[in-house]
Amino acid sequence: MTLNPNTISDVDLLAEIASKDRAAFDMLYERYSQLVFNLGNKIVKDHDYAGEVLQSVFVQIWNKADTYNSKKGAVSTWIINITRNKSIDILRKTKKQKLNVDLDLDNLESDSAYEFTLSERSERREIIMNAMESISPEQRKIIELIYFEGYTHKEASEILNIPLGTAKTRVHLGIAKLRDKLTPFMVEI
Amino acid sequence: MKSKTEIQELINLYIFGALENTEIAEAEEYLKDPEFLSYYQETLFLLDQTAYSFEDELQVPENIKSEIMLKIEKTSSLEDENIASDKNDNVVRPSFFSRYGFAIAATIVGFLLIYTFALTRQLNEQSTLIAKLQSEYEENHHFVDFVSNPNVFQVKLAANDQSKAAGNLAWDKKSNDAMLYVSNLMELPEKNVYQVWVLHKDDSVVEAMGTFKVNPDGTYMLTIGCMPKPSDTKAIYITMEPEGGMPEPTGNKYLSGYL
Repeated sequence: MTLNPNTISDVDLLAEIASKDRAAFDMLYERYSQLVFNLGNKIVKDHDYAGEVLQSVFVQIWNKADTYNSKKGAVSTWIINITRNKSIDILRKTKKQKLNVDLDLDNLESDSAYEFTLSERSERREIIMNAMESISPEQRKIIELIYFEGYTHKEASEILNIPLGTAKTRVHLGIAKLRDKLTPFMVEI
Repeated sequence: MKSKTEIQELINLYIFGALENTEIAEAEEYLKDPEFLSYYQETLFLLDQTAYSFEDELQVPENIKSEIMLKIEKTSSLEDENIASDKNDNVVRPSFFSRYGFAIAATIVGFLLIYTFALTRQLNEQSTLIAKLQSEYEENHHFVDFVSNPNVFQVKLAANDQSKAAGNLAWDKKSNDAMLYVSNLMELPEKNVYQVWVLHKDDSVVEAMGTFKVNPDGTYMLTIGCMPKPSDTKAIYITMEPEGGMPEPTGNKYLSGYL
């Protein structure tokens, strides 16, 4: 089967990878390696470890593509979750940071899952960049510290030198703004 | 009675781990409502997607893909070898019989093949056993070394039921590293794991310290980094959770130990 990188969906690529199709794997790597590497780097704060994260995420994708369940979320969400878990594993091993946040979408008992209506990746990215720019740098920073870098809200408030109450308000207002900007582009799958 | 906005705010803080025990229970109660569960999932999805905003901060080093492909090649060639060996076992011998009919020679070859196969299998089993023993030796040696450190103290974990399960947590109070050894824990169903928790002294925080599955003999040794300070800790316990672990304990306690 010839795969067209411009039209094939992430879900179809994963199905091909599950039957050990190298071309499909190459295409998925092209689509997600930048995201995985940079998210890994954001969490582990080290290029070499981010490289380790990237390797282990894609080896897992190759070996476990058949375990992906589209009812539990988009492929991007699945890959982002694997990346976060691998990064946190590496952080724990290297003891670079104390981590309390361990979100796991796989454990949600629901058939609902979401995806963006935007089919073009560049378009999607632009919308997300705009949404992130619409929230204040302070709100963005605290979301990144807690959600992606694994700090507790208490630690994040100490890093930013703000009271706990302010940290909570920033989190809530930041999420509300992001939802306003991004929800119109979202659809249940 | 909270307004919708207040509940959504509570759920936002729940996602960010910014709630205390009673608030967590309250948020989880609201999550039983499909409307708020949907809000929760949408928010998680949107937050995940914001990772795209830093997608282009650094370029992926070029050598990484070749290293991934090498690892994948290794896995695949092992699988191919297994498939080829299965095919040989199934196909070659019958074809020899049917085409040439050299029954006696074939029988001898067959016996030799079986004998060689049995020997190889025995050898493989012994190699596996040796590797397992070596690994156990290294693990135990490492544990003994760790426990010999004067900064290390031990916390006994006892079973919460009538079982013989037990655990021993060796905890380095200086580095906050720890090694947990458990024994006689039952094997769990495929989609479950044991998860280790630390309960802080003021009961306000329960911290996840790692997940594991026991060996077939019910034992396991888990290395834990980044333990909290012993002076901040009240108890350590182990629960059964869904695979991947949970942000908060949800399952029954199997082992507990108090400081």
